Amino acid sequence: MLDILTVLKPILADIFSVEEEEITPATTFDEDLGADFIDLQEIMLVTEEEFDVLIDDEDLTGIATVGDLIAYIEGRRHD
Amino acid sequence: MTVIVDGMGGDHAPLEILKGCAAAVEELGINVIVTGPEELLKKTMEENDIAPRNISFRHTDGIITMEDEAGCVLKAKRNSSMGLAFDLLKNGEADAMVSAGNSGAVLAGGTLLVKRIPGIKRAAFAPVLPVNDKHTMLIDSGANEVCTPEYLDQFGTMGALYMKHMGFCENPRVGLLNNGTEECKGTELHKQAHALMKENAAYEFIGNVEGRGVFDGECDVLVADGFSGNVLLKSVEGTATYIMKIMKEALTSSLFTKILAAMLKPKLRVMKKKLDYTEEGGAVLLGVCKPVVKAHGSSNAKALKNAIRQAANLAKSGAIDHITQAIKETETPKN
Repeated sequence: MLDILTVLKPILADIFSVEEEEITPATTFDEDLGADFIDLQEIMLVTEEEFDVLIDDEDLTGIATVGDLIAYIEGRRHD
Repeated sequence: MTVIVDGMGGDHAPLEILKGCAAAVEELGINVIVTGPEELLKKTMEENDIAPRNISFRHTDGIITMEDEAGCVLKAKRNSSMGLAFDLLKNGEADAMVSAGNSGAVLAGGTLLVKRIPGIKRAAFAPVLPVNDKHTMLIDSGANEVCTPEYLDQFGTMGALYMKHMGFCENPRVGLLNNGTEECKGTELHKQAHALMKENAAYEFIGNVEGRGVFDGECDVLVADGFSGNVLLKSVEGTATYIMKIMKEALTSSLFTKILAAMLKPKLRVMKKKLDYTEEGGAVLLGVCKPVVKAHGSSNAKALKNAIRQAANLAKSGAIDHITQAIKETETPKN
């Protein structure tokens, strides 16, 4: 889980213009990072490319925190 | 110069799109690539005697409808006429792109397939409105319903550079759409944006502008959050249609007014042209790396032709390079 977080931190920090330290598994995309539709789509594309996994559009709505995204990536890797 | 056109985007696709492409080729001397079901596109051209000169096709069966989710252009409908057009633009097979299709999909595809200019937070739809004998850009007219002060400040920079390098005016005056001209007016977003824009040396900020001031030509670039900008744009379109309707009713109500209308015909024609959205092309998606123009969903051939002209002019102008450079200069280097 930590390895995925290490890779995600600079990506998310860049997308949301925040410091990497602000990104933790508990960070919420909506409230903490103020993510909108474009942000979520960008996260989906970058995550797919970086981790070589496929994210279903419908699954995006269930990913509320960075921890959720990490768990999703882990789950997909083991599929 | 090659412009790629989404052959199946818009309420009147593919016929009006193809007619617009043919007119653009004829008038501008450019090449056009049309994406969509090749057999249907060619059959439509043949049946309507549309000259195929300098128009080529790239086949795909997929179509994005106005009801589709915006994000579908990225994956589920990547192989659509719009998705293919974005991929061809991204791969350098054309200089600019035009679509009259789903606005959300144009925003998503432009932002995430063609990509934002480095440092740009959000791309924005930016139509140029005819005001008296000049032009005013409205940015954003609907791409970002929720904005931050930084987005609005960047819209000011992009809008001013576009208006300058597209030859509309040498020193564009940038205003912020608000419910009053005083600095203290508006929501927290407006107050914070005002403070940022006032300090930005990249453009001349003239302060808040009320909706009614737009058509007095108070500014050359009107910055707005996408929600307010969209409400303003649609109100303007509705008002223009209403004015033409009541003028027509008044001028055809009696024999006397009909004679008067005949005498006024040349002047009325000029007025109609000034109120006609099809004359101005579409809304540029400003903030992405290559020229993307969103034509009105109900575009006819003339509107589509003018959107192609606008896209080709943007590609020639170098405005995107100037925006890229300006944003680069304002970026704080990361440690």
